[in-house]
Amino acid sequence: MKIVPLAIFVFLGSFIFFTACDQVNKEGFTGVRVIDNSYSPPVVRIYEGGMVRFFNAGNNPHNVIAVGETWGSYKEIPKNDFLDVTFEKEGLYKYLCSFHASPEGDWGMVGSVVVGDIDYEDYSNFQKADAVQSFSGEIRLVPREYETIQDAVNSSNPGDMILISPGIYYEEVIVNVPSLTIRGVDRNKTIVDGEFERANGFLVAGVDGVAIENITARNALLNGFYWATVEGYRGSYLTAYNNGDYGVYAFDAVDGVIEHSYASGSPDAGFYIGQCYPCDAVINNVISENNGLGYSGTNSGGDLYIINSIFRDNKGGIAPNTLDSELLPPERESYIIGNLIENNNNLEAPAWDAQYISLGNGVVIAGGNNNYIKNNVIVNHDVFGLVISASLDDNYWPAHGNTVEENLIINSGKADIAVSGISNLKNCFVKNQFDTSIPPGLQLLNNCNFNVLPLGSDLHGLWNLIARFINANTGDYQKGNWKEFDAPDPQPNMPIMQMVLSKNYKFKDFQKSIMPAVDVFEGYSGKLNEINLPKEAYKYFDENSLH
Amino acid sequence: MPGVSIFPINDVPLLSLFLNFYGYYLPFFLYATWTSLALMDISQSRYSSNVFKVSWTLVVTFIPLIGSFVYHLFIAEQIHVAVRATMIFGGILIFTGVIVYLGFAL
Repeated sequence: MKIVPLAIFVFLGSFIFFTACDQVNKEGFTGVRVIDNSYSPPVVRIYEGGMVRFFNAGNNPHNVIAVGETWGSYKEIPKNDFLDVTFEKEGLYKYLCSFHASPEGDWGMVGSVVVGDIDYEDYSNFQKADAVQSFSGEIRLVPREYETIQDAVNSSNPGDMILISPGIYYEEVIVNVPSLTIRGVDRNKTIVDGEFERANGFLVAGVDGVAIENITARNALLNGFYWATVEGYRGSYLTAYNNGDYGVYAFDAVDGVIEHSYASGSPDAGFYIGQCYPCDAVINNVISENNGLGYSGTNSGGDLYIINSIFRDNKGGIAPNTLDSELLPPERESYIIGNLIENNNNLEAPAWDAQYISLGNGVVIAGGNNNYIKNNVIVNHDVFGLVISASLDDNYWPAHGNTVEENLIINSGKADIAVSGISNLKNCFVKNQFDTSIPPGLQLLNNCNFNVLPLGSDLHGLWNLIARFINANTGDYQKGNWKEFDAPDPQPNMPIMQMVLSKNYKFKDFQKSIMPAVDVFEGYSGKLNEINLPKEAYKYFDENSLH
Repeated sequence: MPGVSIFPINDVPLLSLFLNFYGYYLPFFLYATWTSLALMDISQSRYSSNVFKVSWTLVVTFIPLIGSFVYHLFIAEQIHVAVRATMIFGGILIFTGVIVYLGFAL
């Protein structure tokens, strides 16, 4: 009989333990959490002779080096390790992470330490030139006028267009001019190649309103296309394959759209929108296959739409998630509507440990709140078709208030729909067509009209994740090499560029198609009412109605 | 610094989180208690025939909750009536209470 009080003690005790951890007064130093692509807090104030401990709580390696290299070190701080720095003299000490910021510290992952009682201006991460609303009329041609894309960017003014002829460009393009429209003439033949040596295909570094269109990025060590800390972005008709982290990546970016694009062969997500609220962003009509995850978004949400897209043959399908290692938790208010999510069981897809955990799941809501999942077709997954699960990082993040409506979810290994974790509240299921659920009766008992029966505490899925987590940590799982995937089939060109290629177009129409990415989300709102499943999804309705 | 408490979600009281967990597992706990005590009672019965015992064992085992509910209500002889009433009606009352509370709280 003693086991029962013991269990209660352990359960309640863990609350006290976790709460107490946060209240420990770390005497002797001031802590700065180094998380993925920012320092938190970005400005700390200490006394003369005080010490700052930079603790890497992120998932990636970072470092701390002074702007001007007077202190700190280029040596990376591994995950869960720290660097102590003592500041003897009064002053303002600016620093940066050499992996994720510019050497001058004017954009990227930067922070500052204020020592002593001095006046200081709040240190902004970016010095931004202003975005402009419309096309300037200037078209810069690569390679006819500029040898490299970077040369063209460096010569540009806000609002210009850079038009890139077919060819393979061996460079990393860092875009630091706002409101540029960068476009390839032929999506499949205009290729930026990182040769497994350079970090990104395109990095839009803190400048607003940049549109990248009709081009391919491959073989970058990190990301194919990367918008970092921007307001206003657009990626149209992009192809990203065999990039070492993400395919198309928007981090700390708001007001954007990623549309008609394709991503494969990334060990993390093919498409990613993270750390934004409200994001005001749309992913429309994309194809994501052979990635670690089809879509992932940590701590993002708020008018974030993922619509009309195909996520297939990845390790895991769609995984909006909450983590403490990035800012703005929790993930919330993402609208996942009208997508085809199929066969995400791909053992040969590349992955990092965190992506392997989602293997065999169609949609994983990990610690997310108030998401809306409607009219999707989710089929052929080895584990769960859709699972709403808690997320455990520094904090425990239950998944609350998610609505799952009118989806077709069939042919899943363990269950078509599932809720898992300790106390996920107010998740509701209505009018879904499915066969199995864990716990049983989920849609009947937790429907959206009457939803008080406490079914949000089943642990089945959580055990499953923990088992995967152990496998991931021991490296005991199968994955493919991201460098070795085949090039995708040719993808459709942007309509106006297709007309240009067939030499059947009016220059006026071409000019009209050039728009910097300003007020993108607002301009897109009409299209959010016309959500159509990809046509590949309809075969499952036919098959299913035969039963 | 993000997330300083373990449940940093607004609008969700800790009690609701706890009762959701408790409420999910309570029926399993009641099933285990009712069934095991019913089986104990059957095995210790001094007056019933073997056919009667075997029949009720099958009922209690194969009709979860309802079988043992009926047994405790009408058949049981060894376990004191107060214990049975507490176990049966007390269990149902607590479960109802949890659901009613969650209904108002959420």
